[in-house]
Amino acid sequence: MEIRSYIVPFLLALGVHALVLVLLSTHWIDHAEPRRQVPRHIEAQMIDLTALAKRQAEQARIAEEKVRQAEQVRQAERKRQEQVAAEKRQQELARRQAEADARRKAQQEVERKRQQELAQQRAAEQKRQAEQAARRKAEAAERKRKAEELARREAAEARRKAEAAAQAEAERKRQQQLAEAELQQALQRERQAREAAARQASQAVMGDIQSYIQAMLQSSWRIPSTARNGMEAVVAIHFLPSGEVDQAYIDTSSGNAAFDNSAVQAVYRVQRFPRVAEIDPILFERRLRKLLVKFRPEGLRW
Amino acid sequence: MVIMKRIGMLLMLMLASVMARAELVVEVTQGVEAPTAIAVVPFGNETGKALPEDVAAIVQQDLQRSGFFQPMARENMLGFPVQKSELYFRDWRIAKMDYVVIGRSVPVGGDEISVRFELYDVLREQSLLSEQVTTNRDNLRDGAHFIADRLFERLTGLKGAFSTRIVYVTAEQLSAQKQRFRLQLADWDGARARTILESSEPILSPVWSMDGSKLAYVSFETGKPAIYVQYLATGRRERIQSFPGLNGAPAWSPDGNSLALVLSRDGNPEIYVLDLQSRQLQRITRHYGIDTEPSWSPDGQSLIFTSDRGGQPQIYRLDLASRNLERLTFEGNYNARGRLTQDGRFLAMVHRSRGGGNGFDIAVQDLKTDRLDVLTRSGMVESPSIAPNGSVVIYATQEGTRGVLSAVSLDGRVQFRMPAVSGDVREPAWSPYLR
Repeated sequence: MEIRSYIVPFLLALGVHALVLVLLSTHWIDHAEPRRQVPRHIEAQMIDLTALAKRQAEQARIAEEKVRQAEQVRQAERKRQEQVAAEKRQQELARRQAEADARRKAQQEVERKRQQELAQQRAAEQKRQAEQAARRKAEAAERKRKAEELARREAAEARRKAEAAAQAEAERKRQQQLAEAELQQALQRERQAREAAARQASQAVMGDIQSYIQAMLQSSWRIPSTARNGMEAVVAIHFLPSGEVDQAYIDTSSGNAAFDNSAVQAVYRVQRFPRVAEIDPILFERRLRKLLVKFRPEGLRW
Repeated sequence: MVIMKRIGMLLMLMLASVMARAELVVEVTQGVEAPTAIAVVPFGNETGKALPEDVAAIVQQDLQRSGFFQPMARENMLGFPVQKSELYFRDWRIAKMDYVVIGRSVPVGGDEISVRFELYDVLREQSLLSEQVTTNRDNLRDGAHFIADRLFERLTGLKGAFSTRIVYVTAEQLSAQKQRFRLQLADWDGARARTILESSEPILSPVWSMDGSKLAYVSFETGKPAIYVQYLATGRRERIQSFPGLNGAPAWSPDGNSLALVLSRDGNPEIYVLDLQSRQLQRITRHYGIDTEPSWSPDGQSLIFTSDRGGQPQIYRLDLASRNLERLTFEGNYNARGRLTQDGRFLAMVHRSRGGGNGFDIAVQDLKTDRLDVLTRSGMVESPSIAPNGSVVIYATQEGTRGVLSAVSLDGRVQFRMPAVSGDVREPAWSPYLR
């Protein structure tokens, strides 16, 4: 921007100089003529010396002539001197003019050169700056590219690492799960075996307690008049280890309020099942803490 | 991995279901078929004046007569708690009560009395109901029946029918030639009877409209049988057009728009339906046998009636849209005067068993299983009518030479005699639920 703003003044300066040179050049061409006329004035004097010689008159005339001639010579001489002086002046003037011109020209040349140099310098500077800018830009781009490249590389690296870690973790988990599953299976097998044994051992006990509870409830269940064959209510009983009923509630309703009530009341009417207290505590916890009783009347009239 | 997980889940679920099944289930299929034990403790009276009715006694009797309850006799009660603070569940538990009802009457002002009552579950030791009802001193019976209805509904899930009414006909021989017939309206238990029509000629077959606002009956007051409609609120009567010959056994359709009746104008008794608005008559049966005693199914889609077209009286059902005829009764050589419960499941009737001599008894047939149970052993019954909640059947029977009203719970557990009234009592009809 700065450089471009010098272009117009520079061109103007060049134009002014060119104009001055053109104007001056006509001067130099016009003054070349008088210098060539000088020798012609000197030839005219040599024609006068070969004139007529007559004594008295002649002499007088000669004297006169001589005087006149002298005068003429003097005058010519003066004229010539004047002319020489003028010439000299003219020359001097021309010389001075030329000198001034030359000086000016030189100056102009210097100036031009300076300007040129300046322009060059400026151009150079501009170029330099442009180059510098370009370089800076290039450098920035390069830096950016490099940074991006680095980031990409880093991201890739991170990803790779994360994947590797995830894989490792997954593998670890799989192993762990496998191990756990094995453990679970082993535990389950063990539990099943234990349960099977316990079941076998407790089957008789549970069968007994089942029919015991059934008998207790059958004698305490008062089937209401609204009961119909096919009605079915499931009551959940929570026992205390003492065999007492902690709570009893309808698990699945028959849809008939009186029937549901009668079923729950059958449990509360018994209140305590003494033989439940005699059950092995582990068995009690596992099988008897909560009990479901299905009330499903059979052989009703309707 | 995913498949492994799924399999694992499946295993877990299977295990869970196995565990759930492992929860011990005891099946109870037998029990004691007994009415529910309930103690209705005499209510306290804080009005300062003797009350005209023993509210607790009425409640107790209502519950007992439904057949669903076995109330505790007062003399067996250890105490008469009136408030919760005086109630010791242990005592009632020892007395083998499942429920206990306490209450008290408090004055409201003027002749108004408020009866507060509470129902407790003895075994679970919790309150099931705590309400109050305000009535006039003179209508204390209504309050008592209302309380019984509330208790009944809370304990059985069925709507109580203790606030309903009955109508019946009494006949008195005033002199050798002179008879007096009365149409009477009473509480469901026979109390507070009042005469709504008196005639020197026979009154037959009273029947309620489904909204309980009016009655239809047959009267011979003009010398010939004619069907009348009487509005209970105003006493206004209206004679339905009569036809030559027999006009009898009216029955209101559930929507109240038509009347089924028996006419013999075409020769022998047939069943017709009379549209009460347009007065258009539609013949329903067409048989040379006697078709009589029509009654609507609760949905209004069919009529049940008695017909001897099979050689002996049996009960049939005719679908009104398709005209499909279906015989309902096969047990016994006489089944007549069929009435359906409001759920349409049970059919009460007058029944004579095959080879059972001449005895007529009330029987109820479960239309789902076709099981028939004979509820009475009186040998001479007529006109069964069922309570709107299907719990009790009221009927007329003979006591000596006199007709009286009796009732039996639908399961046959409880039978009771209505209070004696003068004259020969017959043709009871139970009202629908009244508002």
